[in-house]
Amino acid sequence: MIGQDLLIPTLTLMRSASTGLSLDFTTGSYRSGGVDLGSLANVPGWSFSRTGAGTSASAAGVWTSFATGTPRVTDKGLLLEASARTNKLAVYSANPADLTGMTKTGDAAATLTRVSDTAALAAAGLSGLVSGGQVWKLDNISGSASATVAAQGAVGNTNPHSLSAWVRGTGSNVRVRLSSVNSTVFAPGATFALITTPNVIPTGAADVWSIWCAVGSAAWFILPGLEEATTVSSPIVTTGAAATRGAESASVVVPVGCTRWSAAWGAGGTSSGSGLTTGAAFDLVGGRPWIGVGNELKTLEFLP
Amino acid sequence: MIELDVIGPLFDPPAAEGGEPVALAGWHVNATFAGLAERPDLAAFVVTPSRMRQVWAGDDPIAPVLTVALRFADRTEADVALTTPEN
Repeated sequence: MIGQDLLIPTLTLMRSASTGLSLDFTTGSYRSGGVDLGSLANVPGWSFSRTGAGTSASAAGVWTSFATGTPRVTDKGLLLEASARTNKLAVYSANPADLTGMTKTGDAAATLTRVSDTAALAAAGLSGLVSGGQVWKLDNISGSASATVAAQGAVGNTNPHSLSAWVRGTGSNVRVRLSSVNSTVFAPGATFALITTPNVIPTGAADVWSIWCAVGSAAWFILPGLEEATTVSSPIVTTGAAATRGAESASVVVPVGCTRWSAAWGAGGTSSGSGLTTGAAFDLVGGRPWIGVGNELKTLEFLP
Repeated sequence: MIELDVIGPLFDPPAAEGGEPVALAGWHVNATFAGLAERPDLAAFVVTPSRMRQVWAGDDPIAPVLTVALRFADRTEADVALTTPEN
């Protein structure tokens, strides 16, 4: 009697543990057949590639850079972006050494400077990217007409482009816009916030990224981005030349005995499927709903 | 398959404010050193600009360790050169 009582649950545990693959990107727990694999690189049949560095943020909003070929895994999950993107700005977008590549026009009383803003950058989780702690500042508090700063790196064509930057400031009238296309005015807050101006059609190939301040406004800004796309992607850091983050590919081999999968992603998204073939490659990118910032893949399980 | 970043035309900034960007000669494609090792025939198209106008993110435009710049006469030449027999 005692032997039977012990035997039944033991067999149940063994069967459960002997098959299946569980990938929890949020905690860094990767288990096969109940065995802790230690790291993503040890997952049987795991394959990943990306040419070029990428960036991703943790759940606390702290941004980190990931070298070429390194999966962007944080406690938010695995960030995957299916398409290559280029930041066309030929400036030092995260760590400007001076004002090179930025040109001020408009009110002569307005000033463009490079200033230390370490505390505000840290509060916004940007210190990992803006390691030098320096940002640009367009100050038009005392001006009598609007002022603009344009970044070097023209659109080059008239396809849709999307602009971005982290901005904080004072006053109520600031724009992140293409030089020839107006955009919505916003009132910058005291802390850095990601400002996006997506899907803008340039009027000419010479159009450039710019930031505009009306009289009485000032803007501290960093990590400007200019992408040829209808949406903004994760930040692409430039170092004096346009920079491309290549498309990501990721796959894992379906473990023996597994026919089903389930995934959790983003803010409460779940997906599942069946009909898997042992030994086939399971594509984590093509057609998946967990692509892009905010949709990070949290867990992926393969089940009998 | 090798990783390619097909840039196409490249431009320098306008000579004067408000002007048009200055187009550079040729059709431009970025590859990687690993890719070049797989396709040594592309070495004929490698150029070494003193400062690269576009690189793979994270690379140094003055001393790249990841980016290999290829320049073709035009798009047609690039299409021919970059199409492998398998494709």
